[in-house]
Amino acid sequence: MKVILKNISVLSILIIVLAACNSCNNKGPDDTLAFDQEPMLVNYANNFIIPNYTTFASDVDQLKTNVSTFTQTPSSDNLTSLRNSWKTALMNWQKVSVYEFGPAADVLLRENINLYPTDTTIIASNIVNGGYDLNSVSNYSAKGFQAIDYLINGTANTDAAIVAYFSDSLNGQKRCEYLSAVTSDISEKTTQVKNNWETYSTQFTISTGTDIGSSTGLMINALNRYWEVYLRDGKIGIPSGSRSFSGTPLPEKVEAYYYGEFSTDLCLEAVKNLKQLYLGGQAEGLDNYLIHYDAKTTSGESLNDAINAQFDKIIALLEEIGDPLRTQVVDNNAKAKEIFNEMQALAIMLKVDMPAAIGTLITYSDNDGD
Amino acid sequence: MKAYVSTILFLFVALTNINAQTVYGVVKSTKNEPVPYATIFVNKTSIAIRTKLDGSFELSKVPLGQIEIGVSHVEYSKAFKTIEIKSSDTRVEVNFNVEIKISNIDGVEAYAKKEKTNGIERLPDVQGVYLYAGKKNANLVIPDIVGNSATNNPRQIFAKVAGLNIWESDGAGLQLSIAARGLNPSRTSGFNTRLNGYDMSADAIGYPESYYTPPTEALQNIQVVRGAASLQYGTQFGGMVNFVKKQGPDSLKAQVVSRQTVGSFGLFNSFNSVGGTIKKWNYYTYVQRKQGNGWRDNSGFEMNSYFGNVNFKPNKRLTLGLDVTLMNYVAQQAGGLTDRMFELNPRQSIRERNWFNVTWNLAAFKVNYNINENIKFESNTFGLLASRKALGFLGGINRIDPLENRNLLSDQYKNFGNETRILHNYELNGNKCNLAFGFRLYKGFLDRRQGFGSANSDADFSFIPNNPESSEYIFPSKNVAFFAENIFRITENLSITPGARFEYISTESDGHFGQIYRDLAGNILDQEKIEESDKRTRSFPLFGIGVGYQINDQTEFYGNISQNYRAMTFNDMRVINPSLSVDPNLQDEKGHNADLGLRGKIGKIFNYDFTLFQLAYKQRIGLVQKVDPELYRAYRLRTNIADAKTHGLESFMELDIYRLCFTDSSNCSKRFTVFSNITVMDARYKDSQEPAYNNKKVELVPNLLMKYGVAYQNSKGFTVSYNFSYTSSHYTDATNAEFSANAVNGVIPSYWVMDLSLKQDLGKWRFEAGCNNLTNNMYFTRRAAGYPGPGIIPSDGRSFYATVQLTL
Repeated sequence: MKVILKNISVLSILIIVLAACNSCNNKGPDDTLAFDQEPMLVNYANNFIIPNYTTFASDVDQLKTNVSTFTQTPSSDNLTSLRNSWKTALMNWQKVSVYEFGPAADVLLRENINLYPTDTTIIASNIVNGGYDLNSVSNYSAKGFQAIDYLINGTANTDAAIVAYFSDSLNGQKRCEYLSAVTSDISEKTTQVKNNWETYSTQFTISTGTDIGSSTGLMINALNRYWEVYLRDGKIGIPSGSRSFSGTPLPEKVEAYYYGEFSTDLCLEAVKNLKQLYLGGQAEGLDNYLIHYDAKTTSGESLNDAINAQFDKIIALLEEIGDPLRTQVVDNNAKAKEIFNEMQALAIMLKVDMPAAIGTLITYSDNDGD
Repeated sequence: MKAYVSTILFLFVALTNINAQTVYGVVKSTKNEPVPYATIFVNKTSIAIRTKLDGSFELSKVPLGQIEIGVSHVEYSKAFKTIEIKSSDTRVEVNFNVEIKISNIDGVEAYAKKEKTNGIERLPDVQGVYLYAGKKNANLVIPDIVGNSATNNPRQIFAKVAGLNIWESDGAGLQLSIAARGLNPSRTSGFNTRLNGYDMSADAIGYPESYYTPPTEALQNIQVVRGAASLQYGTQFGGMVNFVKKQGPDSLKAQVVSRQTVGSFGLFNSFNSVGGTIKKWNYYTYVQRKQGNGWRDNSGFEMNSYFGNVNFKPNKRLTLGLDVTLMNYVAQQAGGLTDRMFELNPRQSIRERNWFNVTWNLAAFKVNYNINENIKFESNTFGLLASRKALGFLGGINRIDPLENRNLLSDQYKNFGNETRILHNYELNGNKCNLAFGFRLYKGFLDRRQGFGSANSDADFSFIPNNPESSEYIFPSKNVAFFAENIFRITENLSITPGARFEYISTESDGHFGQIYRDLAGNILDQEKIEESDKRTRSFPLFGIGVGYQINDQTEFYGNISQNYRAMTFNDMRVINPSLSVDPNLQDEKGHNADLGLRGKIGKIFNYDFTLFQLAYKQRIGLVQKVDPELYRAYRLRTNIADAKTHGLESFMELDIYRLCFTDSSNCSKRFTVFSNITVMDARYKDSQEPAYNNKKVELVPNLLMKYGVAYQNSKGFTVSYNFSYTSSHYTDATNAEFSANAVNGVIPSYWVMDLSLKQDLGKWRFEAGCNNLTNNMYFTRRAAGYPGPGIIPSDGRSFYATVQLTL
């Protein structure tokens, strides 16, 4: 009996001690030399994300007001004001499109407000039949900025004809309603995201680390996904034919196809903004992160220098090709494809080299089941 | 008058003395030790008695003439002696010396009512053709475990097995997901799973997932052998789990057992078995139906299963057996939840169109032949025809179901194989040694299709034809292995067991996937069908050695180190995305298990097993971002990316308080036991090619696992059992994410659960009842990346059950 009790107590103590030791050993790797993420995250939240969403939200408000004025009184002057506010909003959208995580991901902001090419057949059918639910997945390509582009720039050849389109006795009313509905949808979702960032920014700035759920992890994944799919492919790759087997250009797939005169400008704005994001403006950014770890490319040069140089190269090429992009992808196809290749080179650095240096995982690529 | 009285008296005496003969004696073992509780009987009569503690017995009222006296005891070989009882004999002495059996699991011995265990035993050094010396193992005795057997509740059934992480994906017991030492519990793929000794997983090499859970009500034992099982059983780091089904009783021609269970949330389980022995034939068969609504919305299920076993024993040496298992179930899947949804209401479901269907058909033909006293031969030929289908919207749980065509993943499994083993007992320097050797032949085939099903809500598992985004692959596989393991008894107390296994594996993949290129709005730009085929052949040896030292009769010190591997699975070889490549030099995951332990008993009062272990899991397969230097594109390479080592201590202790306090009660059937099952462990990644993993904690390794239990049993057939289970928090991915928006990765917070079960025997009847999750805790044990999620899979809240069993 005594022996048994003694054995039990010795063994129990051993187990408790081991359990305690194991929880002590839960300190991770030595963190003293790690990059301090907090200033970078605070900089991103306070100087990039929130101010840009605020500006964008007020642009959308202005757009909504102008749509309202136009639909009440369709006229050439009101159309011009409407168009200008649409241009401003879409240009400033290029500064926030990349942040598709957190509040924006919750409402699928990008897919909801700027999917292109827009589907004119569905738009026409919605207008004629009514009863549409803009929140349904099947209507994603029949709304957003690109639907507005079609409605105010693509439904006729002259401003006067467009005004007539909206004041038509038979369908004008329905068309105005559709335009309003689409604009309200943009406004609703934008306001929601902007408001949610007020509270989300706290969570964003304290989620340090490099695991999948950390803010750095989310930023790098969002940045890469945007660059690969929506910028490199969406704005340049697909229209220039670089993503099809035949290589034939597809000019109708550019952004703002119907307006036609500032597609390249939009792309340029997006690339310049991304470069600023990477640099963190005048303060801490991902570039500091890479400098801290002395990250190198496979050929041994500084990764930060290589990324900066590549950004500048792409910006220069975009300035060279200029607008209208929808004719340039046909007439100047070789240059368009060259821009795609340079964007691809930058994609490699952002998707392979940068995450490896920082220690994050790219997770947005396909996962198969099981 | 006197004559009359004396005649009557004489007759009376004669009559009462017709059977007044007594046979008495002592039963001893061949080592001259007394054998208590052996059954002494007169063959072909109902006269029987048990020997006392000193081995002595007295059989009274023995009939006259030639009779056969027999002695039987589960641990000893049966012995018979024929004697002649004359009327002039009053007391006849018959003594026996019986040999310790190298036991077979011959089924329940009807002659001696076996003493009940506490539900867990250890396997002997040698059992049948298998060697277990020096290996950490546990043999669960299922009829002695009190728990919810209708739902196969793993917390209660596996409560005394050290260090198990148990996933609870459905409350009905359709899917068993357990793992030890920090391995992945998904569908018990970390263990080599077997039914009655033959494989039962989808493909032992390429897809070691077990979709079939043998019903607890039909089981006699579950054997769990740790990593050192790799030499005799092959792949998997966790070791081997063998589900041993019941056998028909020896002494009855037909015994019917019918169990009906009802439980919370519409649970109904009907289990009906009949088994028995007729001359040289022994059979056991059952039919089971289980259905319920599930604890969450959208989680109803229906299951039907059948099993038949027939054994033919033409003589004492040869046994031929045939097993057939048929099982089918359809379950609606509630889908996962995000962290927020789980906090608000864990019972909710936002997926109404997800379904799961499993069909599992197994057959095996078994030959057991005892060539002579020292050579045993066993050959199992087995085959599987099965399928698994998952239908539904499997996109992230933070998206609503777009109500379009659903994903459909459909697998067909066809495999068959043979394992043949020989056990040879021999003597070396006066000490008994045992050699076990054999081979394995296995041919597997998997047909895997992935595509789209209908856009409706029903359980329609048919594909939409001609879909360019679908993929189909066939995966033929072949496996040939030879192994040998030998127990060398150096002294009476010390045994050393070295072993080796030689493995040849061929895994092929052949198929196609469709790639569609779209613009941002989803319009198709181009599409292509890409054909892919691959073949990997490799062969390698595995070695291991074990040591056992008997400190005294009841205490053993043991240790072993054994190499393990986990063959690359079919998923590792499959490509369904052009931005994914498989490393041409991809290696199987290899490593070793090392145990150092102390186990034993102190009388019948205390039972313990402590093991320090190390599990080295090297060359883990995963994905790394790479750049193609020629095409200058980024792609993901599936290759061996990191090593991981798990260290820990597994401890198990059980104390019989009743026997402790009342020392003269060792032959009493009253029990009052408590047990503790505590495991501590830790694991980290090292040398990772993917920088994001370096020095991170390995996923699914809880630092602390604790289980406690109390059981009370009286001599009137009443048992009550209480269990407590605790699992500490752990990560679900290698980057140690705390949270992710789609809830696929994140922390699993620590959780605890309590269960209570009761049983009452009343002659032919038995009543069982219980409550699982007594305190209605809301918790979850897993996050899923695909079905049954994706997202958090909540565990069931409090539930009740009641069972009525009738034995005829």
